[in-house]
Amino acid sequence: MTAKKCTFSRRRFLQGAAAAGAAAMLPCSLLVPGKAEAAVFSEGDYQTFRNACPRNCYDTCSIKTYVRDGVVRFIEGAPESTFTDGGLCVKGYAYTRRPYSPDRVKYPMVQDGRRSGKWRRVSWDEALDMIAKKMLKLKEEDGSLLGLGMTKYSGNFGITNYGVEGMMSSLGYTTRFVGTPCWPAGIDAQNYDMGNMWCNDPEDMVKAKYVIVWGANPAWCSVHSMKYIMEAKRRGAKVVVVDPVFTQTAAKGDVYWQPKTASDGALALGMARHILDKGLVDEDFVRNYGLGFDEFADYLRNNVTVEWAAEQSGIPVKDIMEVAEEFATADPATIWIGYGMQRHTNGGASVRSIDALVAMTGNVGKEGGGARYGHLQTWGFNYHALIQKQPEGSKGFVGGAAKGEFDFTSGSGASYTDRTVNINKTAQAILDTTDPDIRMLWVSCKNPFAQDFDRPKLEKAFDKLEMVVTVDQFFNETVANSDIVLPVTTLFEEWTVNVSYWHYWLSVNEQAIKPMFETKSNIEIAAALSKKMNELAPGSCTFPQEIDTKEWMEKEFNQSIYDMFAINDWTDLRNGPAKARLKSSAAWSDHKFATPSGKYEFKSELCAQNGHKALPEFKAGRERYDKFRLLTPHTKFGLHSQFVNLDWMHEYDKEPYIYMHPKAAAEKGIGDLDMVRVFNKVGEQKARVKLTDNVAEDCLLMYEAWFGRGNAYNVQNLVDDESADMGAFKAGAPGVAIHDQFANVERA
Amino acid sequence: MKKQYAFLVDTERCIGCFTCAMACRNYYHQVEGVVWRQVYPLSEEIYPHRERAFLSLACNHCENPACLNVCPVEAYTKREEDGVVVHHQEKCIGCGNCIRSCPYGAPKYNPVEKRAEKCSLCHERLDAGLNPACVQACPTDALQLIDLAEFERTNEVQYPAGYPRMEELNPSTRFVLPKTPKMVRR
Amino acid sequence: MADHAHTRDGARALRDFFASRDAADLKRASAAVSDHFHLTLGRDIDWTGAEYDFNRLFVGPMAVPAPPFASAYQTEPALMGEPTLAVRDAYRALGLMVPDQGQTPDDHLAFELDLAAAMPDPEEGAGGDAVTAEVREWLLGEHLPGWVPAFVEAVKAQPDVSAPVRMAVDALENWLEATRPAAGAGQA
Repeated sequence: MTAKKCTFSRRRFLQGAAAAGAAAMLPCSLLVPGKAEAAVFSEGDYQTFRNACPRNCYDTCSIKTYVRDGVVRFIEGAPESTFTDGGLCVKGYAYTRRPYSPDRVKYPMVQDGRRSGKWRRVSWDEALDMIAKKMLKLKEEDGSLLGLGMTKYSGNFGITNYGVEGMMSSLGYTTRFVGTPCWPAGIDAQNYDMGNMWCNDPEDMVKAKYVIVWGANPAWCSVHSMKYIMEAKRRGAKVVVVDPVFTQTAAKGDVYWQPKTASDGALALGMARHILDKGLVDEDFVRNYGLGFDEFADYLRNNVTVEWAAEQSGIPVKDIMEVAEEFATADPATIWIGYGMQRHTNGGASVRSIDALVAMTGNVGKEGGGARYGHLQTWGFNYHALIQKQPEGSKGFVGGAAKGEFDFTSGSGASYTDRTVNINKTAQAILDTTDPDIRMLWVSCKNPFAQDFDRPKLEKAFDKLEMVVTVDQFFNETVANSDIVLPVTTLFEEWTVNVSYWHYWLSVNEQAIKPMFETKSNIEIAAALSKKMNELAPGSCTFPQEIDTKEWMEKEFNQSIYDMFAINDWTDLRNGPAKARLKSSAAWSDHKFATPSGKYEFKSELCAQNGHKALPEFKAGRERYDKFRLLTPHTKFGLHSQFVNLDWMHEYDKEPYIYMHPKAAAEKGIGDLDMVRVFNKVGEQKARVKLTDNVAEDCLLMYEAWFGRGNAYNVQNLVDDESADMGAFKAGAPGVAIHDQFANVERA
Repeated sequence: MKKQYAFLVDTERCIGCFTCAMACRNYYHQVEGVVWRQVYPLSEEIYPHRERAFLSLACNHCENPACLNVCPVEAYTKREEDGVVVHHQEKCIGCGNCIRSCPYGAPKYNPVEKRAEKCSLCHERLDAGLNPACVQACPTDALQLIDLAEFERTNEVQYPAGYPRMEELNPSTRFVLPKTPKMVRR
Repeated sequence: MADHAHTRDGARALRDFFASRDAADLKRASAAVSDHFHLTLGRDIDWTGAEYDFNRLFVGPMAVPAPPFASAYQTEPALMGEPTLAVRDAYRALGLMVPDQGQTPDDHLAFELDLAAAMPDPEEGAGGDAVTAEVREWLLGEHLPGWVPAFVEAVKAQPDVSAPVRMAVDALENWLEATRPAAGAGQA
């Protein structure tokens, strides 16, 4: 907003004016005029609503929303949740700006030419007419709807938003982008080792006597978990942070280790070897609840030394020995395995090595212990919005479909399925898929241009598509590359329900305000599309045509959810979030594992069958192909491309930077705050540089996914789509080696 | 000693997450460019790692406030009951004396109202038995509300490096200094 | 100060312009604005181009440089702020409200111009009701002059503004100047 001039004063024309007049006439003899203190805060002045942050974050905060005169005035953390504990994060407190940003996508609009900026406003009816006709045309020409692709991930994890997938099923068999760039290699690793991904309640970290935070940065990405780490520390625990970057979390630890990036597996195995040599293995655990420990021990004795681990990682022998011994003798001891450390070509193997370290010391299944990664224990909803039937006679893919990690449906046994392609190779999949080609793409809860890899290739891929429909709240690069944009509601404008993959709280998300402009929720969009499809071709879509979003939220609950959370009805959640009743705060407390053997599998035949090693052996990382390693982790001011565009965030975060070690910069003649160009085989990106030894000399660091007015900064101009080793088993497609990237830099 | 509410800024616990600053905006909706609470990274001379230790600062609610002393129209008062320094914007004439006088930069110019304003320590919330918005929001209890009259001092300091020493004003904010971990780097 | 008919008819023409949804609306409304304000508009107007331009400036989906809402200029660059609620109070005082309140902010320029157009003629005694007079004075003398100049300036700061939009903001400036009450805003 340029040039602000204002003579604004709020004037109350009726009651307000009268009240002021009356006050002026009060016979005052003691009170001093002009000492008009702000009125005491009174909750009664507001209507309050329950909301929950649905943005794919560990913390998935429970929100209390204060509304006056139909407008969200402010929000706070729900005090009832001991996890959220009355406070949100810097992103959460910026939420009030999302519904009310003047930059919001307000109406369905059509672009006459991708990236042309020539937008026309259309009615929902007109937009859906264009979309439905295109879908019918695809079906007619291709004989199936496989030419229709859908890419959706975590922009809104509210359970009713699985209605996007439901909408696709209700149209027929389509092409789905499955997998996740987030955490799949680690999920597979934990499944091989323990039979599932399942973490302790983070609130029990206070009981830990030793905490290793390995490749995670909760000080930025899970702020509410930090208080548990700090409390453990206050009670005497030692906190070790392992990260190639000296993160904010590292600054809060007792010891910081900066290993070579992607050497985590070697480091963990070196520690394991030392624990073995020192006789600190928990024999009870490995004998009674473990499978194949002797073979693992043989592998360690034959292939691993602490010296080798030190050489691989750059962490000195004596430090590896010291921390290994301390970890093995502390009781309980825990490792928080971050998602960052598995975004490598050897990420799954590394997670298995770390799991083994936790298991061999008997810390799996222990309160305050555990190999903490994530869990989906509380996600047992009905998935009512998700589960929709294909129309009679739909033709689809023959040969089976992959399933994502959040797909809780059982197989239908139908002869046709959706066609699945790898979400981590979105661009390549669009370019390569034939019979039929992917001709139309539906994007929701996702910003592929900020999130998918190799942005230059993605632009080419989009240009191949005949129609792109994007459902979003804000104009971003994906919308710029679309033909039609549909405006979607914010969390304050829809009913849904949310749980976390980290903590164990359940929150209802109430509609707190009327949907602004012409926005609709994802399930309302699905219903409207269904109506249009059936108008044009009766029977072409099975999705209900009239829905009540509150009712649809209610339909997600079932008795087992009520039992797990000890509530009688979902309406109890209007009094505040509820926590799952756990028989123990520890995962696997009964030591009954979900592996084929029922034991913790140091040796996993399943893992070997799926093309990996049976043992958690060392796997070398990706070979360097450019001068510097390039890391593109999360910023604290955004979640991927969300929040960074809001005016309040700009107040504290004005521009993106590249972070570089002063010595490396000196060699290149680069000074602090110089404009530089980072470039590699994928593309290039310019930004100003900040010199800091928080990063290693051979490393460039850029926080991901900035977008906002007049700034085209995008780290995906530099990140290719190389796969991680694992992920296909449980997440439908391998992960992606986001942190195995290399680039060079020069003054711009 | 009389009751004196104050902020305790525990930089050992502070993770520089800006939650306090945004919670303040969320509650008061200050106009663009007006920041009541800011999170300042410490320079590398003070803490050896860039942007890894911070001072979260707002008004210090001084014992002898410069803003109050220089105000020509008595737009500032210091509350008897708890020492909170309150700016009464309706009395303010926008002369800028307070803005120029406060060595901590607490009063800000509001270009819309054409008057000054600053952190109120959420006294309307204090009066309702609530914590200030920033204190409630802090995820690590790094920002706390204390009463200096009852506060038992241990390792807190009044003037950490990087924070102006203004003994005449006697600012009420207290600080715990940051620590550095043992660094094992390659 | 302008006569009542100018206030009313000018407001109607401008209201329709800023409430446009497409090229046809813009064409129709532009003719009325051109007529009323005696501003000429070239013959070879690309109305679809004007529609793109109107959306670029005021509607979206891209971030809009000149949102047509009071609240985007006054206390904070957001919608549904205090100015919106002030306008809502003004409507309420006269027994009015925007359709589907809460959906489109009450301080959209078109709504405010609609209110201006609905004001009775103070010269004829029909505006004698004290509340109406107060609202009228506030709207024309304080509220609209408080943000519309910033809005106009934001449009004019943009490159390549289409002729119909340029004409409409010129007319808006003209209208605002002419309708400002003598005692309005304290100094006019």
